[in-house]
Amino acid sequence: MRSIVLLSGGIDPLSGRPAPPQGEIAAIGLARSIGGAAEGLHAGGPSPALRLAAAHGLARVDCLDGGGNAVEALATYLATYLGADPPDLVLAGRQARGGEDSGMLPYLLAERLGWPLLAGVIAVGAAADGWLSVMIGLPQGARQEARVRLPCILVAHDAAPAPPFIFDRARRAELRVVPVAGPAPVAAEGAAEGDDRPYRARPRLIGASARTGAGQVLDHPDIAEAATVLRDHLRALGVLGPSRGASPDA
Amino acid sequence: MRWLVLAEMACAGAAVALVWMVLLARWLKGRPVGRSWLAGLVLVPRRYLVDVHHVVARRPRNARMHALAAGGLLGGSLALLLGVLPGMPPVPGFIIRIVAIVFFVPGAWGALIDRARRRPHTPSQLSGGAFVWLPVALLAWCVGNVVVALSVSDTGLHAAGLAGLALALAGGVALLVAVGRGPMRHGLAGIAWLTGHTRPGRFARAGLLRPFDTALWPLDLVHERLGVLTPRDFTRPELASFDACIQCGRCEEACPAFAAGQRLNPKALIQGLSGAMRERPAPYAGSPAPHAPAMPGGGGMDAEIVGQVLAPDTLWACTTCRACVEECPMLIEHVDAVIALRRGQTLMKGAVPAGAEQVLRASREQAEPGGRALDARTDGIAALDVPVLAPGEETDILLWLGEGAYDLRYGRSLRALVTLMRKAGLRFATLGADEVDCGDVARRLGDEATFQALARDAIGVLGTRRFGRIVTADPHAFHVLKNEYPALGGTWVVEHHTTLLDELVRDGRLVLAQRDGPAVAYHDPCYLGRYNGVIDAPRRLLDAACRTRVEVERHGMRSMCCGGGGGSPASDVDAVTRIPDLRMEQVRQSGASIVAVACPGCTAMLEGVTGERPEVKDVAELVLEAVVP
Repeated sequence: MRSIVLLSGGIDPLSGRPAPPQGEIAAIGLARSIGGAAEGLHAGGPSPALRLAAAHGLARVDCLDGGGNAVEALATYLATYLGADPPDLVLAGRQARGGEDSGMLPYLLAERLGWPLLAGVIAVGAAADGWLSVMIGLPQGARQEARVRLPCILVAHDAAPAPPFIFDRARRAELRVVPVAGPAPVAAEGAAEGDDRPYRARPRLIGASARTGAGQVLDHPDIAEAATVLRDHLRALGVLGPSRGASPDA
Repeated sequence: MRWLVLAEMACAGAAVALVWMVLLARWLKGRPVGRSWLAGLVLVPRRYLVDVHHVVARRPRNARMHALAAGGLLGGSLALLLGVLPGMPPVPGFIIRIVAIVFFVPGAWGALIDRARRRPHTPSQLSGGAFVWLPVALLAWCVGNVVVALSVSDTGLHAAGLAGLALALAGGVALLVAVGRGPMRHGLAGIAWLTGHTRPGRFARAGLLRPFDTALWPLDLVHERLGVLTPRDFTRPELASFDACIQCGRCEEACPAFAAGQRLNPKALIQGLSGAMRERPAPYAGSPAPHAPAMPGGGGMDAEIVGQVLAPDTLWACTTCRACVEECPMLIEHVDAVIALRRGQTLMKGAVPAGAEQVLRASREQAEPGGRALDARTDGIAALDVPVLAPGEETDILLWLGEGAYDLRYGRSLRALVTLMRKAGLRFATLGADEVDCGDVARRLGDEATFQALARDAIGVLGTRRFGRIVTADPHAFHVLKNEYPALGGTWVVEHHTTLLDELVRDGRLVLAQRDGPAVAYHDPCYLGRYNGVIDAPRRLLDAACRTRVEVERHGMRSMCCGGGGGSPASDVDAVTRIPDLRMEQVRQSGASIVAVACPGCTAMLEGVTGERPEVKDVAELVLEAVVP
């Protein structure tokens, strides 16, 4: 399986020094966990952060020169330059650092390519019949299995296992400048456009529940019974989503 | 008879030469060093008689034992060989054989002293195994040859002479086994190691009995293999140095990590490396690294050392305090071996402990091992309005703040230092937010790439300012700036703050009044004392500031580490007890109620000791208390 990891010219927000963001390191980790060839891809010139990212497990990073805005450049590269041998997977971090940093790029690229996208991926399983099984990381350590059709874009969870930094790889990594047809890169216009909406007051669930005064006191309950009561109460408050099919405790 | 003895001696000599060839062939598989072996060989007698003796003689009984056993063995054998040479006239031959006896008898005495060291039990720092029967072999060789020397004549064979010859032969064969695979190897390897020693700067020279050569040498980052992964990656003299270890266990007694029950025993480490060169190493009969998992050992010149011979924790437990190096009578460089192995693990494999990985990443990305903002470094002394030196500006003293400046506790020490410098009317400034980390932690953790990047930054920043000298309160920064930056192109006058304060007191620019108070003990920071020999200045200051000063048993050049060096706190290796707890107990034993420190690392480690304990104060704080306004 061939994977491509999208890399940004990461800048450390505190020091301003080159530093790949955690999410991109995690994406490299996912790409390596699948096995097969993994390469880096960056829309822009070779920056020192790319070499630091490659230290986590990439032998080569292609740096795109030209091609319009980042999404167009990446899409053109994937369609034209990899046309004969297209990647099965494109992986990205949650948010770039040192560019526009909107976190929108993978979504815009998925829209442009017409590929499915899954975010918050914490582990990748096996591929079968053109489908890939992945594990999504949810808040508070919850995990959810999912399947996605290949080829697809996966956005790595920041907490996905990060491969170690190896200086030997950094110094051997090849940063290749690839000219891409199209206008010179301009500041991506409209990439992070959104609608201005007036402030909307949202219901405060915890405050609201405290005011209701309703509740149920259980004295030394059975564990299963207590769990059921708690779950139903949280569902009633809308904190937990409705039951989805057969759950292990049902 | 004469011919038999001649054959015995010739065979022994030839066998020793053969064994030496085998050993040499193995060491020559290491990396070459660009130095002449011949020039080194000329220096061996002096290095042996001055530098090795300087260490051995710290334990007079051992020195006596060694002089008797080694001198008796070599002198006696040589004299006996001369005495039976064909063509030797009878009378001088007789005299020479008497000389041989005069050597062999003390040799036997030395063997008996050696035997007595392991009676009734082998002490824990000494090795058993081959070491137990070695004195017996030595005794057999000496006694047998005394009988032979007495009974050599030109008239046929004697029963007594033959018995002596048989005894000597048995002892000789055992000694030869010990030369090839056992303890006696240290003699041959020691000569090779003293010839090609990797730190020629540490040997005595005119006017300097103990020069310091403690800086790590820079690694050329374009080498195909960085650091050491297999025995072949060590330099040739280093390979000889591992074979030169005589397992005396002095390093083990001095090692703070061993004392705290971490998985490091410097003696077992060196023996492991010696065994790593061989497919089937001789069994090791000393105490192992505490709680270390059993390793297969051996593996040969091309097998990975970590995992095969050493547990990874063994590598990361070292605090790089050099206590083992200070104690080693064979002048082995344990810390260099540890750093070389760490470089291999860090640069080639990225296999570092989780805590150390964070520290290295922060050093790389934030130029600060703690990941803190560089402009927050001066927060601790913000109220004192110390000027910041901009590029192109000039001052007398540049105050290098170091990593300790972020620590609230150490901020007190720095404020005391700044206040004292103000009182003395000095003109000084800091680099403000332009001061990056000096790279000490990264370098000790084996990340030479990050160290060199930080050093380039720091040298660049320092190069744009003009100043008379650099003063720092951090011995680690002091060592790096003073000794390790010159190899990378940055040479300045660098002083530790105790040296500066000592100078101010001696010049009368600071006047101290001795204060009555509880007894004060000074804890020597490794990177100030053992690495740089600054042990008198802080003591002079304390004597001027405090009425009662006591010494901890381990002090000066043989002081014990606080546990804070070498990135050890970041690596966080499992231990039975904490190193600073052990050190604080030693301070308590000295009867001191205040322990004077001169290093942010020591301050943090010793202040971390819980329960009732002596108070921890920086030398600058004690001097400030005693200064006459």
